[in-house]
Amino acid sequence: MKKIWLIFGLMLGAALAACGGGAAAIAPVVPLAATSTAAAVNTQNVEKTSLPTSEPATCTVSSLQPTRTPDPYFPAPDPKTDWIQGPQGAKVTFLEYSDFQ
Amino acid sequence: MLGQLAKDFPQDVRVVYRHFPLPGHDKSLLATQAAEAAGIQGKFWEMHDAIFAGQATWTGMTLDQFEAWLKDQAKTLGLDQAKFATDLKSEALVQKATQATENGKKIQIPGTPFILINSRPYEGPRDYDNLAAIVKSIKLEDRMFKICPPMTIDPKKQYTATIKTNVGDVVVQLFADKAPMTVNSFIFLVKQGWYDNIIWHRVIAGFVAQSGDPSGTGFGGPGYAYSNEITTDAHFDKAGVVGMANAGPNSNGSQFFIAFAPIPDLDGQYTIFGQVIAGMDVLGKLTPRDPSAGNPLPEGSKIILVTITEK
Repeated sequence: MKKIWLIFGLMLGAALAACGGGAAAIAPVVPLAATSTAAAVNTQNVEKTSLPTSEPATCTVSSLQPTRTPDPYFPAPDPKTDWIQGPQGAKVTFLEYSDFQ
Repeated sequence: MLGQLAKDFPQDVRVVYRHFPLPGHDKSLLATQAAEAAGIQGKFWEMHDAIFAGQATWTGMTLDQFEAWLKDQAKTLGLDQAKFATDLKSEALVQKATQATENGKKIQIPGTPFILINSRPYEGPRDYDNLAAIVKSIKLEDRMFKICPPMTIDPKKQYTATIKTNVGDVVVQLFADKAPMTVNSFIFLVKQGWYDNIIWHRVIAGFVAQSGDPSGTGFGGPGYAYSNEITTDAHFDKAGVVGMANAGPNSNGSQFFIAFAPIPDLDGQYTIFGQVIAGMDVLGKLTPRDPSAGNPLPEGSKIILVTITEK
């Protein structure tokens, strides 16, 4: 499972909070964002009948993908100069720099 | 690889190819020119695929032999051979290929292939399953919620979830009193159909069965995250304990797991929010599936529907 985390961590880079998976093997599942998106915090305290050992639960909205700004190194795909397969409005764009040899 | 993703996700995936002919490779520039020459005749991708597919054949060739091989490919692809031969060595394409090398060096591409996913450099595994999993995870963003669920449950009431799977029903008593935010979120997601028709993506005999991610990858969440609700009187001390999977204390989302056995090591780390009261035998029929064990993975058993009863 650590491998899976690594994949996602590499993909989303510093924009997302990394998590090492920990000793317990339950999957690290939520790509919790530490993004530029302002977080809406909704704290809800609820009476409990058993004794809590943790702080009152809080909920935070997270965003998987932070807003992108233009990148001078990797310009946006341009059909005039790039070879492109797939729709312009695709949710996922793979941009590949490659050498045939 | 990427072309296959574009075919398999025709509405969701776009593949952009940029040349970076590496300076140390003797046939890189000519190969680039050949792809571009084919592109002039509308068959860039066909030549692209042919060159990659034939790599083992032409790698050891001389430049002259390689040029002849490229012309053979052009013939096979039905290109105008005379035009292809002219374009292949044209000043424009020679310059274009050379410029591509310079561009790659300028922006310090560390090697090839170099991939960006939605403008972010990606250095993880490039096998199909991993890249497809990333696509599915990003697609899930469309379904994510922009707000945390409003608190609608009454912690003093009794809630029961019936998880209808393709191998039978599992009934879970929910602990609204011990984990109100968790149960509230779970019920919210049930009502939104979040858990409908998704797989048990991680089923490890003797340990846990885990689900709750519509992407089926183990990456997915609902777009919000909430903290653990750990109490003194709930423990992973028997089979059937239901916990929230997380990536740390404040990262609970939609994924949950059911313990197949006592797992005391998990105490204090994962919110316990339910207990299976019927259907442990059903859980035993779920298709074993361990994403960390490598590919390929079986399809996975499914949750068809979850329903909630309230007393």
